[in-house]
Amino acid sequence: MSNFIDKTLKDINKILRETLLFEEIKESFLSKINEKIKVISLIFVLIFLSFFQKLSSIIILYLFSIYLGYIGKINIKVLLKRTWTFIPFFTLIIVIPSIFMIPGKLSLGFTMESLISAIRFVLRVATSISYIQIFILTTPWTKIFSGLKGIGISSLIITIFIMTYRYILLLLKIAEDLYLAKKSRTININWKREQIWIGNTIGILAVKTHELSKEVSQGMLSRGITKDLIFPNNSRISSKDILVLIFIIFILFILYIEV
Amino acid sequence: MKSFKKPIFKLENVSFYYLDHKVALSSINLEIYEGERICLLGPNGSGKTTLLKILDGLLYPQEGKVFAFSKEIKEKTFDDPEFNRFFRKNVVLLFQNVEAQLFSPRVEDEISLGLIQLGLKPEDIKERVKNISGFFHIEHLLERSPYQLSEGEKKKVALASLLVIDPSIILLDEPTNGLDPKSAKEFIKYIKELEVRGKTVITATHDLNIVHEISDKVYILGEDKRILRIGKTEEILNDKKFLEDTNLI
Ligand SMILES: Nc1ncnc2c1ncn2[C@@H]1O[C@H](COP(=O)(O)OP(=O)(O)O)[C@@H](O)[C@H]1O
Ligand SMILES: [Mg+2]
Repeated sequence: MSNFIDKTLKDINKILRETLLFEEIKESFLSKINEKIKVISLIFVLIFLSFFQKLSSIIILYLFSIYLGYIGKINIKVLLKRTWTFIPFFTLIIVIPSIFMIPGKLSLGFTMESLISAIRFVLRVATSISYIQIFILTTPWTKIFSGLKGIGISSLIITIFIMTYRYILLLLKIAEDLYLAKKSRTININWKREQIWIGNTIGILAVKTHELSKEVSQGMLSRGITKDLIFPNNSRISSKDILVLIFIIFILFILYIEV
Repeated sequence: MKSFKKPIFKLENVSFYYLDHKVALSSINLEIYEGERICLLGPNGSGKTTLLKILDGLLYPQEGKVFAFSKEIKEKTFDDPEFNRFFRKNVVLLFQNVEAQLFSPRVEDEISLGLIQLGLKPEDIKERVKNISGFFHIEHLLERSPYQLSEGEKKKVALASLLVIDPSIILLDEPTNGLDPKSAKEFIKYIKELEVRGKTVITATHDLNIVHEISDKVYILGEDKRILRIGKTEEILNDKKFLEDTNLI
């Protein structure tokens, strides 16, 4: 049991860190598309996705994301891993209970209808994550923010994003350090002690969180990063970018009206 | 001669308390002039970090007055974008915990960040990033993530990110802490190089071995969070009895 907890903690930590750490961006068709166009396309995909009812439309859109990953020179294995590792959490927390709930009635039971809607939900989540990952994996960090700014998101909000991002990574590191420090002192494993340790760790994390948020915001102030943070100028939108956008909206529309 | 020049920093009777009302600095008076090479020396918990953060305009003392560039510093002072820009362009602080001041997923972005804020052109940014990473020998790290580096590499990246905007006053909090002897030596070399270029360098440390290399003047902070003594570096380093009494050796 305690091994299971150890492993789960470690896995979650690892996945989060891997997802948050950006990798080197290879030059590709996708990396050359203007970041503003990419943000807008992503928003279109996410909106249309929430309207799709037929499973087939969602599946096709999902497969299309894999194809985009391919032409974006993304490691498909990484893309799949990053997408599907999150799914079990969603499934456990949201989907499984809903399968056994019959809409309209407050009783428990299993229906084909609720099963399909559960599958639809999971596929939607996976597809959204897949597209978001493709965006992140083909766009340099500074351009992601300048793209967000380009569609009218304020610098203040973006500054908060940066801080949150920094902060989550630091927190994960502290959690890992605490975990390793404990591990190095553990000779034989005792389940009761493990539980106490987890309790203490949450306490320490809460205290550190507070100190850390102050320190990170001081770090930003000190480097002159204010709410008026400046981002590199948007690169120009070319006619190729416009074509890409039209193409994506076209595909989404076709899938929506369902052939 | 120096008395004719105005100090860059001037502290009058400064005391600082953290939220739990524990005193972290007590009745500090000091004046720091352009081009000085200073060490703040004191045991752990003597208030070195707190003092540097006050100098960097990150903490504001509950008692006493702080002046920087002849202007009294209060939290409001930094609401003026022009002053904020001027101050942040000229004064930088290398944190004891450097992790808290690295924000970007790639080292190159991290180093460019300050330059982008200054509104430089992309070509100039590239050029400056190239120069500074050559100076610190970190060209091979530019594509990496700052979070995956060793402690020494992280400190170098952080310092490069601070120095790339060419500040005139450099505050360093325990720069050699956590570094292996070789990296520490390398770091000292960089600090000396900055001093040669006429920068004002204020270093907090409890490492006596580096003091003679990087400073002419030493402020000793004691366990009671006061300045115990101010003096020439040689003079203080030779006073073994005093150093023992203050728990520095
Ligand atoms: N965030 C904080 N909250 C409360 N007390 C603090 C905090 N940071 C430092 N202190 C206390 O203030 C005193 C001075 O700390 P610090 O400036 O970090 O000293 P130094 O850098 O010389 O080790 C110490 O007694 C320390 O425990
Ligand atoms: Mg300190």
